[in-house]
Amino acid sequence: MTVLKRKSLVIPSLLLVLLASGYSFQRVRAERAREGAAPTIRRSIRSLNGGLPLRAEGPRYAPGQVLVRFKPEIRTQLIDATLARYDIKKIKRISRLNLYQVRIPDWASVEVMSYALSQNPDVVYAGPNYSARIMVTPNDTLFRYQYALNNTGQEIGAPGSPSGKPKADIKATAGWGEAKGTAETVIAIIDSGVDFEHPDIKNKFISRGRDFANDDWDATDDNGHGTYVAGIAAADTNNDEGMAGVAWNCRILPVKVTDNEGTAWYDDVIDGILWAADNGAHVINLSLGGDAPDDSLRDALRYAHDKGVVIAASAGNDDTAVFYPAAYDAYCLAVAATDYDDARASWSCFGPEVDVAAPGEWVLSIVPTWYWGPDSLPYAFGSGTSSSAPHVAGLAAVIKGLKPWLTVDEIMNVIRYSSDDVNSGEHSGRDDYIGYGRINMEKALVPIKLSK
Amino acid sequence: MKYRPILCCALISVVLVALTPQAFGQAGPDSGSPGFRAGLRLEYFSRTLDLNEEVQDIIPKMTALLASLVLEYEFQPGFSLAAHVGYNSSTFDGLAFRRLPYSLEIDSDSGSMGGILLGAEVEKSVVGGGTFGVDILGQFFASLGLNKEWKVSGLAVEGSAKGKPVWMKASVGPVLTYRGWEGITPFLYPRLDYLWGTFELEQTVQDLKGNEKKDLKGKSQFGLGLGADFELSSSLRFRGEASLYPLRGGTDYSFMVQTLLAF
Repeated sequence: MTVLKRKSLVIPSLLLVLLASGYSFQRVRAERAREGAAPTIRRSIRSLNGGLPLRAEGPRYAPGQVLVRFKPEIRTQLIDATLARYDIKKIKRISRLNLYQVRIPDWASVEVMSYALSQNPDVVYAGPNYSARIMVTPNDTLFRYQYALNNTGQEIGAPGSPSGKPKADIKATAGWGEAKGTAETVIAIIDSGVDFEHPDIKNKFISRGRDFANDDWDATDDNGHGTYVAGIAAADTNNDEGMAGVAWNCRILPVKVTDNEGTAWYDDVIDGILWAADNGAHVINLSLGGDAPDDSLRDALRYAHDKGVVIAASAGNDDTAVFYPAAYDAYCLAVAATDYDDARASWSCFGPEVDVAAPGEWVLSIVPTWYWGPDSLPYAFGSGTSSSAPHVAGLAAVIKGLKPWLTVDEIMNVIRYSSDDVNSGEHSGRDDYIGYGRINMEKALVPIKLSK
Repeated sequence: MKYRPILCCALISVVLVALTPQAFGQAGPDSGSPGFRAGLRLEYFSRTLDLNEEVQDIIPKMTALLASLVLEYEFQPGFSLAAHVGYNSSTFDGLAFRRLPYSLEIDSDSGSMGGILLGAEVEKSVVGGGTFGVDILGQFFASLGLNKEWKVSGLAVEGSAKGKPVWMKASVGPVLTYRGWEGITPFLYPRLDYLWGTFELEQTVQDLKGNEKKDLKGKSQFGLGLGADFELSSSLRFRGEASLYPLRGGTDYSFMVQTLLAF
């Protein structure tokens, strides 16, 4: 490993720019100022289940109960007589379907009674009264704007904005039913720093981080981009306010490498990657990139990768070849962008290095409390592969917490292979535009049923 | 807990040894002449499993249909030893394998899994001659599962999983019989009943490979059987039995029928 700090050697072409282009924020800021469309927090919304996540637990079907559907022409008296013959008691009738919820005698099992009833010529169907699994929906008040996590076809931004296609999302609510990340898992956000005062993330930092741009130990955000990226990956979730992060319980290690214009030098990025890998990061998010390759940058990625750190990097927003470091495919996941319809974003960079895609258009996240000023909520919609990469970083962190024994390469492959090939109509299988597809948290986390 | 299967086997071994003719000076009832019997045995059971896991969305269950050829030798009246060879079909529900790269779940839609069935049974009459009798019955069955392969569907690449269950079942207890009727001998069979085994699942999704072995254990360890022996002729006997295995929040059950022909 020969990674040297060599700021003096850096040539202008290695200038890095933050990939979530500033114009996106500016545009949203202008639109919202014009339309007065800032989302409001309804403080009166009460939390379901006492603030605890909802989850279906317990038996798969109601013990001692069977659902029996009789043929429409069978009259009530005959049904009563039939049920009495089986020593069954009625609980409820759904008349439109001639369906009865019944309690079976203690001596009979649900399976045997279901079978016995289904043999009766008057019965259309008899089976257990199955339970449904509740998707985990956080109580964050702005969650309804996060189509990327749960797309119901809602308006994806301010009133008048386009509506998304239902289910064009990363299946976060289903994935959270299995795992939400652990506090021990740390995501390093190598970016412009973070806002340590933002109420929707201030409890998630493991330290004040490191600022390589100013060479100090306080990674306070003076640009806004890093805070936005950190929020997508791991904003405080289910806290009755604001937004939800992909990795509910994971914590953040902020590493500042850009100046207040959002520009970073490769040497600071290299320093940031090495420092994060040595200081407890399990996952690194790099929502930045440059168009020039650099062996030292590659070596820094390799160092982190070999230390067991999963790296998610933005592919780029220029509709050109994949930027660096995302193009160092062996050591990181290069993330392209899709939109609220699961279509590839037109500006998303492409190439054989692209591994997966994640939502990158009109993605809601936090911005520093100073960003809009006192009259607006510190949240914004942004676009770019900068928004896409932290979705993947968040998922990697949740997998890492759930299955800490998996290697880096295994986690990367779990994310790749569980993706949905949403552009299979044009490019079936892995392609250069969205790689294996848009990530799917449900497939990556929830047990897959084996069917004969 | 870890040594329970061994203790259970040891208990059955002790019972087997104790049941040798030398251990009992007392002869059993005259239930037929010594010699071989052969026949067929069918059993179906549904048992709730205890996987000792924290995350458990669905109560794990196992059902199995056992079919075996029986060869029984009666050493002396009231003391017999039987060997079983056959096949069984087991179905599992609610088995989640979360240590694989992709977590997998075996449920009732996953289909049944076959296995070679081997078993042994020993029965010795300890109190007999009157209207009521007491036998001691010990049974042991082992299913050596055959591999079953599934496609892991829904992923961006091809994937497969290969599973193999191996389970054993041992029971021992007194058989309380009523011999007051001609040709029919009803009985009650309260017993210690232990079911244990493993389910190994291997996953391959391109270069992702994983293997997980799960310990299976029957939740209930007590069974109560009610049945009857029917002497259909001097050489043909039929046995039927239904059993319940009580456990908290429900009951497991099994049914068994067996015919034996003396020759």
